[in-house]
Amino acid sequence: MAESRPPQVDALRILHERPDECACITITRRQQLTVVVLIGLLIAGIARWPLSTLIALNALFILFYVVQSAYKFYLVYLSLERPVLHDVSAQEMAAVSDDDLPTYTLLIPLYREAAVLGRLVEGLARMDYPAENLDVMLLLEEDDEETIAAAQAMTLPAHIRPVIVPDSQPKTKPKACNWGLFIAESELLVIYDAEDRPEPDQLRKAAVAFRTVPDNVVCLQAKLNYYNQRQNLLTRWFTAEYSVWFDLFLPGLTASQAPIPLGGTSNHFRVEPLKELGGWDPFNVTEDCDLGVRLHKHGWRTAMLASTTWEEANGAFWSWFRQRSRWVKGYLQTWLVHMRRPWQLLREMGLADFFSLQMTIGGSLLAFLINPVYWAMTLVWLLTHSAAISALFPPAVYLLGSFCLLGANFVFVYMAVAGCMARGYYDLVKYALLTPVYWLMMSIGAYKAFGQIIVRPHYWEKTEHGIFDLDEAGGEAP
Amino acid sequence: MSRREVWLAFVLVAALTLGVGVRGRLVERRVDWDGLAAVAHANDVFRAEPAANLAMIGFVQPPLPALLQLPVVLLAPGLATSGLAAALQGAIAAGIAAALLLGLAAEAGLGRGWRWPLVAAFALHPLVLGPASMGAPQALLTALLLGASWALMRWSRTDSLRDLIAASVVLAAALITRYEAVFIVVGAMLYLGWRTRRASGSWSRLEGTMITFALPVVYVAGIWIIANWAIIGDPWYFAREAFTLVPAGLDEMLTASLRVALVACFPVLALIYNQMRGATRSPAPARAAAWLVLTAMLAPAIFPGVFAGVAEDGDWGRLVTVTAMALAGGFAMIAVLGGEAVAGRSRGPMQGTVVMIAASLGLVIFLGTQGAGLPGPFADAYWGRGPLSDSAAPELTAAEQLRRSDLPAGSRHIVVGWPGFAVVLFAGKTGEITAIRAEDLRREWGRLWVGSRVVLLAGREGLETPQSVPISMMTELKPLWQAGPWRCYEVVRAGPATGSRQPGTGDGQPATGNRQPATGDGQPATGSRQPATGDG
Repeated sequence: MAESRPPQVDALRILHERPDECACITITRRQQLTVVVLIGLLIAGIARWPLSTLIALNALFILFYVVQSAYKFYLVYLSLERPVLHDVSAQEMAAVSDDDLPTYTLLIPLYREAAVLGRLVEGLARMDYPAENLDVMLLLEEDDEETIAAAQAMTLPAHIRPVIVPDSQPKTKPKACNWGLFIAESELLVIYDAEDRPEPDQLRKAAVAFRTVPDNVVCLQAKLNYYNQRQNLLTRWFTAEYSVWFDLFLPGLTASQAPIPLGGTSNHFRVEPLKELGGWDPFNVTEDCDLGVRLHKHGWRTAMLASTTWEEANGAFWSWFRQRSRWVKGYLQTWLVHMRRPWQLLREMGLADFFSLQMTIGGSLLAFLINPVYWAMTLVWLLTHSAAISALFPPAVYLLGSFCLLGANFVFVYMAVAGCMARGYYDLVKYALLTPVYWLMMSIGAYKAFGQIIVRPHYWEKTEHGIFDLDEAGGEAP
Repeated sequence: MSRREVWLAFVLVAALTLGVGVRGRLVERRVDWDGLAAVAHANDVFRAEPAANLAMIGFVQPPLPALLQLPVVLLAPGLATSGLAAALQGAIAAGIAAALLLGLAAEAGLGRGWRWPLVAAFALHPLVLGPASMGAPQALLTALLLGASWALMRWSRTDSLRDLIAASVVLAAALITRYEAVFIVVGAMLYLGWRTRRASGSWSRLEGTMITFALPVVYVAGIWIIANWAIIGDPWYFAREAFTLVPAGLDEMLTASLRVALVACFPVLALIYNQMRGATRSPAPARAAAWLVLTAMLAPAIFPGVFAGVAEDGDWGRLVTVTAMALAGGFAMIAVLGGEAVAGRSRGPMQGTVVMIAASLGLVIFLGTQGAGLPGPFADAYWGRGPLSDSAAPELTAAEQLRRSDLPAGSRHIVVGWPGFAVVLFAGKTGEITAIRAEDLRREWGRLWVGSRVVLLAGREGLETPQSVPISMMTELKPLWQAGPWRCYEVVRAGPATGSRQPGTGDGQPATGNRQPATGDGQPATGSRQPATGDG
């Protein structure tokens, strides 16, 4: 079995070449100082003018809700009004002969996933792309003896090779991907997770699409969705969320040419620009989101590809909970990294993109944090008609707050409904009506993430895959 | 079609409608009471005393026209007190409807030479221009129903989620613009169900489609029912107050509905026939619009008691939804079928349709000669005397007199009776005055605050007495003064008599005694209008 262990790969290149864009240090001194000053001002305000300060804070949060809701509705409207998806017809694909297709590297990071290796290799065999143009790298961690042994025991096709990633810190997926990236010699590259089921023509479609998109588009993000969407209530909600994100929200961001937080897999890259950027940030636990922002900041663009990769939704609550808290932690890392010099970021991105970044990443974090507070306040007020809560809502704030409570919350639920409809998951529509419960779960996960970023900022909570066996379930990816 | 063309249609029609509306209000001194009610409700949200809050939006009147007036009355109080805010809303609604029709016609394939005359015919229709210039909610309803017709027709063709959502949202808005639109919503759901089941045969798809469509409508209706329950204590208060079930014959309402629809848009029956024939065999491009119009027309026949009790001013007041749907759906069908005809794609033989159109035109002309045509002379709408509007001149005169002499600045008054409605809006006293319908006064007594003044118009309330009138355990009305048809009382704490003042002496303000009666009889203005406040 061919096995490569390149000795000269700098998987931490971003740390060495662009430390300002690396999450090695999660929160800088200046940011710490800013947080301390803001908290100090808040405490002083509450001590000196308690009611006025709390009303002002409340008004700020309500205003934030209004702006963020309006922005998200606008994006969904854009995606429905003028969907921007790069679709490639069968004729267009047929017009490009195999010889004209570029070389493609597939990065598949694996960690303690020996059980799925067989299915993975079978799935790869189904990909409609000339094998001689493919270089599939199974990225295996050096200490994962079980998976390495399983790979060694298999007879792999020539275009699939294991790559052993030396055991070092941080032990994260992006560090493994960097190993693959810096030894890749192909023109294009994509990441898949072990349990992914991309549409068989996805590589071909992306390769042809890269011929038609502008040169500054260096990434095509395929849509992600779940093949086990009907496993239980959690996977139904998760599917509704993904459908909104990939079928409505990201196309809206693309249409408005805003920075796109990439999905964890199925991002197809032109290799050279990605190498120039230093690859993924190995210290960021949502390296995909960070890379999407970084690409945009450096003038590169991402587009959506009209092709779907089917993944396994976390159907076990605690596994889902760990994954969610990692995502939120990663979003927070990303926001903190890019907001180290806000004015510089504003100059680099422009006002519209800066605003979009604040709404999609910073805004999501803030919403996760304050949502439970407002739900609790609403509940307490309904039960007690507490004058203390009423006092926080002078007429204008009350009107806007009522709009958020009655209007915005409804529209977010309706977006989940629309996401299921857009995906053709008609039977999931009724479950989307219950998504407020899912929001609560997400907020709880977010609180865990906020705690963890202080004590274990770079800890990667591995998502458990293979819980649902699609083949055993006798199912097909839709 | 360019965006500039759409904007041009919007601006031209809105400006024309507003111009007519301004003339109607300032020169002809005419008003639409429902439109003014929306303005007054919006005003009360910010300025009613002693409790300006969102609950003042009113509950008998559908809330959307008033909600849309909130920013106007907040930012430009002068537009509220002059009554022009209603005309502004009507003008914007007419402009939007015109822009929608233009877009629909362009999408259907009609060139500029066809679509602009069509838009002109729509915008200058007396039943579009008249209500819109007067600020009647009918203008908003027509625009919404036009949007719903377009969205449903497109959805039938494309199965697009966007169109399904658009149809649902605009129909939810229509429901809180005019409660009777619920029948059109139900009609749309039946159409969606039939079309989805027939096209896909999938129950889960039917379920998803129905939930997606129904959700905004149910949510909006639910919020309104809960608001009625939470604030008034009766979840169905709005329906009970707005609809007084009156026995009515099926044939009577069906005849009225047919007449109203035909006069509003004479080809409408022919176009419905054209689109509905062969419904089980082949698709038709404007069948959705035809179905909505048919639903709107049949609803008064199926639920005659509901429509008969909506308003008191004849068929045009009772059948506003039929008029609006016939206009919206009728013109939408004309645009689509016109596009088909221009492109040479007409569906099946048209002889029957043409004969029906000719017969309809003849019938409408005949109805006109019998006095059963348009509600008022054709040209009145262009001069600001829109059909279904009322003259406010006597009330304005009385209001002016009252304001000049008897309502000192800063004092708070409750004016009872419909004439007081004009006082609220035109006397420049908004925020200091609350109008209550005469028949609601006794119910509202408990809520009158001590120190306020109640101004009653003589001749109808049955309260005109020079004696103190106990109104609750705690308060009573003490006569203050009498001037012309107005009699003013002060709300005081109930207690030992302190010697009642004689009318005309009151609190030191001399009664001028030289005022002329406002309307002479203090009759309520006609129509389906509801009180500005006092209904919750």
